[in-house]
Amino acid sequence: MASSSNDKPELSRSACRAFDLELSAFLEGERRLEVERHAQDCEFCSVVLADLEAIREASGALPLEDPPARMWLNLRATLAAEGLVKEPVAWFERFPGFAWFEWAAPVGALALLAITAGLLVRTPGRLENLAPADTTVALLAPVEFDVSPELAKTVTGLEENYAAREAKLDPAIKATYRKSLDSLNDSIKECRATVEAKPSDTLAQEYLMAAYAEKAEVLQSALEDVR
Amino acid sequence: MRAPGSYLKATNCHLLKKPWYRILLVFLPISLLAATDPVQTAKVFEFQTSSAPTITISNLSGQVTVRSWDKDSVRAACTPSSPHVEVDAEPMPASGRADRVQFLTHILDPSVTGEAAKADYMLSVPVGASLEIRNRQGHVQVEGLTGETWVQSVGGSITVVDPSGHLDVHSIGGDVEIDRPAGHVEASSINGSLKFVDPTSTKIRGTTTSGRIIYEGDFAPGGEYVLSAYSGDLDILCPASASFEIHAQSVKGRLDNGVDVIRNQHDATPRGATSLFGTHNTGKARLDLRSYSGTIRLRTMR
Amino acid sequence: MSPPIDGAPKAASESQLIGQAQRGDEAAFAALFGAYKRRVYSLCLRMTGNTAEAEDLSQEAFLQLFRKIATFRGESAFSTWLHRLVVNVVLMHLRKKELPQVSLDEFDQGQEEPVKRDYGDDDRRLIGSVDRLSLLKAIGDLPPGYRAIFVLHDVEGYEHNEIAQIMNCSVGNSKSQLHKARMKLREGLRKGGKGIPTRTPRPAPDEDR
Repeated sequence: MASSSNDKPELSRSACRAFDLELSAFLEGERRLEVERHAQDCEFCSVVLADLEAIREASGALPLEDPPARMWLNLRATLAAEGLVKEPVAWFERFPGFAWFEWAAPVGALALLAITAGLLVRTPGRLENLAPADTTVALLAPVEFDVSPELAKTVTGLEENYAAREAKLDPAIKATYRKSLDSLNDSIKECRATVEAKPSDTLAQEYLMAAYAEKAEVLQSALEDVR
Repeated sequence: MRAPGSYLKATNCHLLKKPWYRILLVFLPISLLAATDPVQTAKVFEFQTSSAPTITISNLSGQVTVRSWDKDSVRAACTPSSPHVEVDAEPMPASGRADRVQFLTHILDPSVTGEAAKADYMLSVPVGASLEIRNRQGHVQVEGLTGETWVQSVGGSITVVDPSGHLDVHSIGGDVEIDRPAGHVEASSINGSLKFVDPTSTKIRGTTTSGRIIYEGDFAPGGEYVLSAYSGDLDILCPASASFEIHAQSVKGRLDNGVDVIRNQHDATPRGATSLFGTHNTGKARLDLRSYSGTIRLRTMR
Repeated sequence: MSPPIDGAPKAASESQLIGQAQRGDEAAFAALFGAYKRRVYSLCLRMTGNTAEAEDLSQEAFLQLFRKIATFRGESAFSTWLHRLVVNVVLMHLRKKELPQVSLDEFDQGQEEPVKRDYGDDDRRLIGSVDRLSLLKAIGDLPPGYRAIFVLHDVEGYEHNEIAQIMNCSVGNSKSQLHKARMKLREGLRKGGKGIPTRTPRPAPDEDR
């Protein structure tokens, strides 16, 4: 059994103090034989050393964390507002033969802006942390709590755009898009109800935003596919 | 009464003994078929490439199969389904060994849809090739590549077997299956299911809205596995020796845990959510499982 | 449009991407964001211990990066340049919020009481390999100054002379702060209930030796 602090001899305590004094340097890679020796002799100090080494090792191996997906949408909107980006790039630009889809790209950008607006409506506190001169604020300053209908209107606009062209799609592709949009509409409706009933439900909020982002992507993809 | 087929036997039996006539009998039906529907014939392309070229395919619909081989060249057999479909291939640079080969399906008559707008692709590519495939309808199958693979589909299913490079696969309506991936994986679908079998990857992210997510296999030490479904279920089947920290959460669904997990005391999960936050064995991998209204099931293999 | 995922950018070298981003190519911005988003966000998260702040600061850092990218001339590695930029953004924020004094030496006086340990207080080791989630929580619970130095040194791998320059303090101060941070972290982890022994302590040694 380990001994308690009360029966620890005074001599050993002074050795422990010396150990403490030198421990920092030892952990910094400096040569401190007395630290190593004491750790071999004193179980209490050996535990301290082992713990600190374990903490250092675990800290150096911490995995990277993923930021929320909305971060890119926010950034993209700000970059566009500041005029830092030029032409948006869509998938079809990888394939020269699909250049006729080009008109769809601004629609996608619009959807992204809409989503960004929606995100910031949901998290108004975030704006306070940005510098006043930041154009994100300028871009989104008019966005208040009542912008949610605006967002819905923008997505509806995309949907209307798609509905007007949907007939031109290959029937099988059209059916796939219809089914996915129905699923996303259901999830938006359900999450919105949850968020309205319980605004603190962050998971439902995340699902809601993800569903909006996916819906915009699906609509953009569908508009690109209209020949 | 004469038995069916016996007429041929009775009248032509002496001719069949002649080799040239046998050949004629074999090739006549094929050539007749070709004459009635000439576009059924595969168009074959062959290009000398680098050991790690980028291959892009843009196709409206059809089956796309890409397999690796141990040659620094690309061979593609492309079969359009009708005269309204044309397949084009372009190596870059045009002479010498290509770093990039683009395949593109042209629909000559925009009113053509369905079966008449299909083109099937069968490719053999260098092991180190990277792929960029957009195939809106039809199955895509990729086997044994070490390069990066990007596949996007609208309604088609996607199966990737033994990929060791980075994988980025998305289908709106189709199922996605990835067998034995070794590189990082990003997979998503809206209505389709996602299935991961025996991965050795250290990072897998999978999201689906209404599809199911199935994970069968172990988790690599230090790996991160983020799987999220909206209304679909999540089924995790791992060996009893699997070592992971888990954060599983469902807003309105159920959590069905058949794995011995020691719950973590710093559970910051919002109240009301069905959740599990803990460690199995020594917690070497990290699992983040989420479903809004589906069931999250955890089981160990027998 | 989805941003690309982490990892080496596809089909283009970093210097090409930087060149394209300097010309305002959105795809290049997206590729650079995709390649560095996790590193940037993780650094912000660990230095602030708060996901909302980490998100804001990461976004701010990327905005500054993209605004300044035209001035990047490749004197240092791009990743080093970006890393430095992120650290500056976070420290500016911490100083505004919690560190009114710019100097860490001054800040140190305002820290909580020094970390002490009682000799023979507890002979149980922290669990074999420190639990990652508890560690993240304990780092988040550290006072901001300790946290910043700890993260820069033990997580991000900065040297003390670099930290001294970044934090505007002496090398000695950086070292002593780091040690205090580690001890504080150990204390936090033990309080967090992770002092479960994984093996029986060695038999008591001959104390008079």
